[in-house]
Amino acid sequence: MNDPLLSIKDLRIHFQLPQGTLQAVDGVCLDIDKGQIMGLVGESGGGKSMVGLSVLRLIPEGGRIVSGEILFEGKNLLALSDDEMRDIRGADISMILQDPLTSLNPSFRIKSQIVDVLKLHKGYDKKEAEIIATELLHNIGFPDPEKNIHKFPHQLSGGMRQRVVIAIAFSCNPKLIIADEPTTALDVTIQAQILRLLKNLSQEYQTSVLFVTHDLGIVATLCDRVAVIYAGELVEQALTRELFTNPKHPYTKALFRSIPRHDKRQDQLYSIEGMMGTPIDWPARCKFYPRCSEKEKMCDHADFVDFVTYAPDHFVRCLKCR
Amino acid sequence: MLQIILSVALSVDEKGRFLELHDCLVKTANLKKYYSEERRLAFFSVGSVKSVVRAVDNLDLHIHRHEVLGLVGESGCGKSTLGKTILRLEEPTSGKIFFENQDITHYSHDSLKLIRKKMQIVFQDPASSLNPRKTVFKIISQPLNVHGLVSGKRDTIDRVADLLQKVGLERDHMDRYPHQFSGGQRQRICIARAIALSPTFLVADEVVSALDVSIQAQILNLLMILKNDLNLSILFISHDLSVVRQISDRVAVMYMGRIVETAPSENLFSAPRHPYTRALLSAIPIPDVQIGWNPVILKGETPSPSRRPEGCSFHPRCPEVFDLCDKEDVELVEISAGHSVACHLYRGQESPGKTASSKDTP
Amino acid sequence: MQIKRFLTNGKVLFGGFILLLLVFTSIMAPYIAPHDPNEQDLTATKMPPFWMEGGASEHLLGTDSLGRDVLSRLLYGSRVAMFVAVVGTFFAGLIGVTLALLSGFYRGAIDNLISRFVDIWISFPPILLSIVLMAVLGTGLTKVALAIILVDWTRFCRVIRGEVFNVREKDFILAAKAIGLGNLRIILKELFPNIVPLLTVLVTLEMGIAIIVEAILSFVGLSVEASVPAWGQMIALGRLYIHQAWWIMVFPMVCIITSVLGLNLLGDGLREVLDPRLKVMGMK
Repeated sequence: MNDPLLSIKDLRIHFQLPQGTLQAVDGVCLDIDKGQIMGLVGESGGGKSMVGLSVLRLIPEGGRIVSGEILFEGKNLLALSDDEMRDIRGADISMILQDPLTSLNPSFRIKSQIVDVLKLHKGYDKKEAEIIATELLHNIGFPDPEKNIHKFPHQLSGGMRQRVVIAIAFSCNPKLIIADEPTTALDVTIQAQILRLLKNLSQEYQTSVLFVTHDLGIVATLCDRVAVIYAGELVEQALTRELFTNPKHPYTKALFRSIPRHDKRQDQLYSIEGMMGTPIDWPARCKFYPRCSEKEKMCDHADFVDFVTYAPDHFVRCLKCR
Repeated sequence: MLQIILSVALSVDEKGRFLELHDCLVKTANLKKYYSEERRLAFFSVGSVKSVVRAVDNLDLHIHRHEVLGLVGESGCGKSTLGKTILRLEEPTSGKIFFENQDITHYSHDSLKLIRKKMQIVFQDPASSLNPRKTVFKIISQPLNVHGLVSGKRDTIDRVADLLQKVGLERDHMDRYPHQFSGGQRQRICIARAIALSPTFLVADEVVSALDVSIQAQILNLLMILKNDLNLSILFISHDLSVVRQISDRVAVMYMGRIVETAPSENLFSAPRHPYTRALLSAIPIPDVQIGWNPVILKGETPSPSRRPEGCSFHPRCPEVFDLCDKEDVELVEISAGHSVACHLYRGQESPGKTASSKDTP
Repeated sequence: MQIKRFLTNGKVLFGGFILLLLVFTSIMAPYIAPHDPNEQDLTATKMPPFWMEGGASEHLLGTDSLGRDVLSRLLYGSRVAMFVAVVGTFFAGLIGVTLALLSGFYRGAIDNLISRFVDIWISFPPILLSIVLMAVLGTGLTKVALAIILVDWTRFCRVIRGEVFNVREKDFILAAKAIGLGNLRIILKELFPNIVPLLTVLVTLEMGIAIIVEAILSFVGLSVEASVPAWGQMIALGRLYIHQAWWIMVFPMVCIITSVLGLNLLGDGLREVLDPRLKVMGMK
């Protein structure tokens, strides 16, 4: 069994606010193998975006990585210098963000944005890079690349822009891609195209993907493994098939029950009581406790809940699943 | 007042038409909302090109009492514009809007004010729908004051408290400011404001799109309760078909300013007819590993709204296109009870003697 | 609203203090000034400030070339500065904001008209324009204020118009229309309160500018009459004696600098307090 490509160990990211310490990420452990698509699911404020950003050390101002390691091919990314990190960004690890309009520089043509990346990391000269860029766009189904490559981002539609972003991300054959809600801002028919594209590219180049999303539907169709995050902690992790057929954590189960489906009508949607809130200075105990519909007396007393192995490759953070 | 009498009188021109209007709370006839832009051809040139964006393009729609009509479509199809135009928040370019059998298309501000009590709207973005400088109390009491529905401070406070409770909030929330609430709570405040005037018709414009899944469920449940308690009709606008299925009795699918299919909810989802509807439904990833995902991938993207393709506007992307499609435009025709499609594939399958614009209620 | 946040911001405190000081001196000048500002004492001309050789406690900051008490003149000068700042800013703001609200809310033809008007007006160099205006209108305090109003209203109009465009797009404006509110009520009750933060900052900025413009005008002798003490005038006169009696010019300069600095800091601080508050609350 090979070592995982990416291994996040006990990551903790805190923000110091006037109200207290925001525990945005609180002890996350995650492994991604080569060529695997890992889904990271949760609601907004749960910390999933932060985990994705931390791999590339792009945490917003004010955030501190308090502890933990992020091992990429054995090296701890958190211990690298800025220069070393810059070499990795865009080349070994790329990122695809949610809003394609702001991910691209509005003042530069598409061509120069792709060419810049190729020149930076692969050392091609301008002419070579242009040829490769055009071919790349062709491969990903970008309409009429020779003509459109000279356009500015605002002249393209959302779907086309996202394709450009994907082209840039894949241009240097990265080993890992962090995709943070890349299709949330797109129409559903365009989303289908983009998801197909990502799956094909990932298979073709054997690129691993950390796919951050709130959409369980996408996870079911795209991801090999899934991790569910709540208030900065992983509450469940398993192979996709296993998680969907046998969810164990009350939050995971509640999520499934509250999703509307277009292929079935439900009489009333289940809604989780209360709100997650912001994890500022929360006490050390089960974070889902206030909203859990299956809670028991022991849940209130325990001051730490382990991430335990419920079944082979199925982990749960719940006292009832020991 | 005169306008109201006149409009009711004029709607009795054909006996048949009068009867069918009678059943509908809201109806549009040949409604158009076009935006025109003039663009200079080149920087220093004198000539210019007028481009017309047909946001709502000759649309016939009807909504019955106590009905939730789901209006779905992707971005830019004009569904939001339609919602606003029906409420006269945008002025129609041509066509008619009927509310409770009155032709409100050209009502003046004063006549419209009386109608406004009965039709309200809730928007998508909870952050920008509420005036950040007003307390919740001021926000919700404003419609009550404008229409003189309350007398005195005590009465106002009681009414506002009552409305807050109806939407699942607390009485003492009324002294707070919008930024002190979460997205879901703000949407509840917006709903409270909308139902303050006891409307019979509510336009819900992407009201849950900006919310998390578990909060979505809360708001949808709230809307369903309010619909029953207050006998509301709702025009539920959304791009999310799964959400629409939960709440709608009937569904209409929009593409480039036109309605391409409309049917009772169950029929649309179990047996969609229009190729666009089919592609749309197939594209949604289902949170279920037992069911495979086989999306119909449409060619290209929605064309720019100012450049409408010839014939059927969907033909450049349609997986079932044939030679008639780029030559002749389509009309919405009824092919079975309550189910209408605008597609050449169903030519000759109309229910005898009926087109969608003159059909009775299902 | 939270008063506390205002009081804990250093810039607001400092700037606010300066402003209060100015208001105080301008109101209380006749009561606290040790001498009549126009009283000439030809036996005690160009006396240095009290801490220097030859100074006296009778004239704490010395006297000018005509024996007039510098301190008293400074205090009276603050009246001119304040009058110009308050009146000038208020009316410039009134005109500018009204046009901006109309322009931004109605857009279309009204906006085109007003914007072109502003563009043309702005194309005249401001200082030259004020000088020309003063030459035409004649000297006097009210005329100075008028000149400032006529020149600076465009600043309000430009800036506020941009903000009106922003706020106008928000859904709550549309919601107000949906409730049945008329346009005038929407502008005054929904739109205007949301531009108040920006307006507040602009007002403090403008007050500083007004003081400087007045000083420039009095420097060139086109401001108030010679019998009215004004800081710019004091600088103009003091310039001639800079080597012999530096204090005649330096103290009014310090007054101007302090006033403008204080007002600018106040504006800066207000911006910090009023805007980020809304952002921090919405943060996840």
